[in-house]
Amino acid sequence: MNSITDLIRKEIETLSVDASRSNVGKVTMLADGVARVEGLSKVMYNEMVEFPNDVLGIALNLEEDSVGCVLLGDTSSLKEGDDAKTTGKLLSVPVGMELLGRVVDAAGRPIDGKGPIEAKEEYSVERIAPGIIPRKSVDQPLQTGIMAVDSMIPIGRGQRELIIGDRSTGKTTIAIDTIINQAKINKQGEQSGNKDFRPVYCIYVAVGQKNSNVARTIKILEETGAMEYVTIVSAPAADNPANQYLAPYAGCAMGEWFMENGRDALIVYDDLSKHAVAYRQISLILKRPSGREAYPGDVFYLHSRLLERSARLNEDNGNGSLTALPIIETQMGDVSGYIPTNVISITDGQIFLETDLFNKGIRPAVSVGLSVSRVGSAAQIKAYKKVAGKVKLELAQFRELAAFSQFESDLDAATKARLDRGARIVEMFKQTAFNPIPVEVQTAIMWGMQNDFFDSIDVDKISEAVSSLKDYLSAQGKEVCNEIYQSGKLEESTEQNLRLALEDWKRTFA
Amino acid sequence: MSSSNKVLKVAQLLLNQSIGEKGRIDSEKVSAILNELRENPPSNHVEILRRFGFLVRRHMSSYQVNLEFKGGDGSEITNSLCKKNLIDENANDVQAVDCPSLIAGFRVKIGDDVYEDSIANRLNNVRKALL
Ligand SMILES: Nc1ncnc2c1ncn2[C@@H]1O[C@H](COP(=O)(O)OP(=O)(O)OP(=O)(O)O)[C@@H](O)[C@H]1O
Ligand SMILES: [Mg+2]
Repeated sequence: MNSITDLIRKEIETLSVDASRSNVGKVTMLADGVARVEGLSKVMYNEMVEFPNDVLGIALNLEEDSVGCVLLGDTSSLKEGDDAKTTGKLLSVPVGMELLGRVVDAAGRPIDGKGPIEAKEEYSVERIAPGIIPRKSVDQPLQTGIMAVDSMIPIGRGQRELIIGDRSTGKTTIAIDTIINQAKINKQGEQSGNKDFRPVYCIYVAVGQKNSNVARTIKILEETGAMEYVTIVSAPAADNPANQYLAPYAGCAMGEWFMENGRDALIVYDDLSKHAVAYRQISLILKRPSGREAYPGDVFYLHSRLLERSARLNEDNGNGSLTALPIIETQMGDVSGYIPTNVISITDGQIFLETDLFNKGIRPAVSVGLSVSRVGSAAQIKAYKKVAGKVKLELAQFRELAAFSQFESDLDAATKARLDRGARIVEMFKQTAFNPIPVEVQTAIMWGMQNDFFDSIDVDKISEAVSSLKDYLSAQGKEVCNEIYQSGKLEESTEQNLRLALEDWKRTFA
Repeated sequence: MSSSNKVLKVAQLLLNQSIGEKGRIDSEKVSAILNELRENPPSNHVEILRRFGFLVRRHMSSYQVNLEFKGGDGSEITNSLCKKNLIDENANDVQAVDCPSLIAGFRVKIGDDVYEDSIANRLNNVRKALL
């Protein structure tokens, strides 16, 4: 380089210790939340860039002569020829317990009108995922409170489980149910006074949704008393694409704080299809080469670097975890689209929701055949594993037999028994929205199913019977449930008590 | 090699040819290059010229010093820079302007680096911290 200018630079730096140093450029193009800046030769990737009127941007495209920045906030005051200045900082968001119960935007600023957030720490939104050494395999359950999920597609802490399905098939509901269930378990655990109890804190990231939907979600979480354990990061459809692009990373940083401080957290990305669309919009304006479905070539990296940050850390690293429930919307049930296949390949399994089932009234509309959890069964509690082990197989067999038996008039007894059991399991798994069931109650209900307590009840009465049993178990049957909750196992004595309780209930129900 | 790559390469070569003593752009060399190009126009003549112009501008800005100041500090800096022969006022490398909006202090711009120590900047930092 130019040795003389280097000397000048050195001289100036020694002249005054207070002199602030920055790197500047000029805006040469502005479009839809993206600015192209000439100059800024020393800007870092992902560095925050300052524009006039306190508008901030992030350097995303570093080219030879210019820099592409996405702009945050109101950009209407900017014009071509404006100065841009590096800040030397990466975008960071406040993290910590202070964020619980709050609604924030993609930059971590409160938008719930409850005053400023007095967070003591900040984390950069883009961080490197934990490597192999500090990780540990998944071995603690994360109960969703949804019977069909907990029994057939169990999720463990630190797992990444995709929720995938067409529009309006109950995807958000499954995620919100899971959050409500964590709040319930947290309250129960805090009351029990168990020192080893580990609460799960939740982060819900809403990307590209209608404001009314986000408001509805907040209302539900408040009404169910879950909000005190939840942070909501909102980048609605009306927000600019840069905020929608950043919101999942911001939420992830907030979740990582819990993980790195030895706590457990759950993060929901609702949804990553809209996230990819926002990123596509930015990339097209930045004139990046586009590929399949007009997405840029690095759209896989967009989601892999996000989801890799969810992990279960080992004891040496505090034993914390971050569980991720990303959501993807499919078109006409097609899981072979570009974004769905990408995210399926990154996650540890998927909960696939089917429109057909949803319309038939089988809700949650979980498809048994297409849903899978690759790691979670290692994390189920013993008692639950014992009763849930066979359910998935029984249900899969039922689906197959049911398809064939349509043509068959006289069936042998074994087939008929299987069909009867299957139909009852389907009914048992029906569950209304925002009504998660504690794991010990689920265990008791499924134990009843395995031990023929429902066989004498008509199929169309099963739902009623299950909810009556649920009521019974939370009143008279409380003790046996508590036994399961405390030990996590189904000892012979527990099973005996369970049998007595269920016989007692059966008398009242019939 | 694609044609746009070729343009970049040729323009860079032309820039290297235009640099004279002390790493400065030599205007005589530049006009010689322009004459040569006019007589034997290469393919992509216009693109090469455009790119060449950009590179020359960028190179010149890397040693041109823009100094804005208000109060004693500004001239002190020029003097100290000149005394040490770091910059050469005759070569028009330093453009010093009195800039009242700084209130007091200086702002030096070399290439796209900016060094600033002024009351205006400090006030702005205070404003941001309070926001
Ligand atoms: N288990 C359930 N029982 C009854 N109704 C349900 C159930 N799950 C979802 N619903 C209803 O179905 C509708 C759609 O649910 P939800 O918003 O969760 O779907 P979604 O897949 O997230 O939709 P979108 O594509 O709009 O995001 C809601 O009105 C919800 O109340
Ligand atoms: Mg939804």
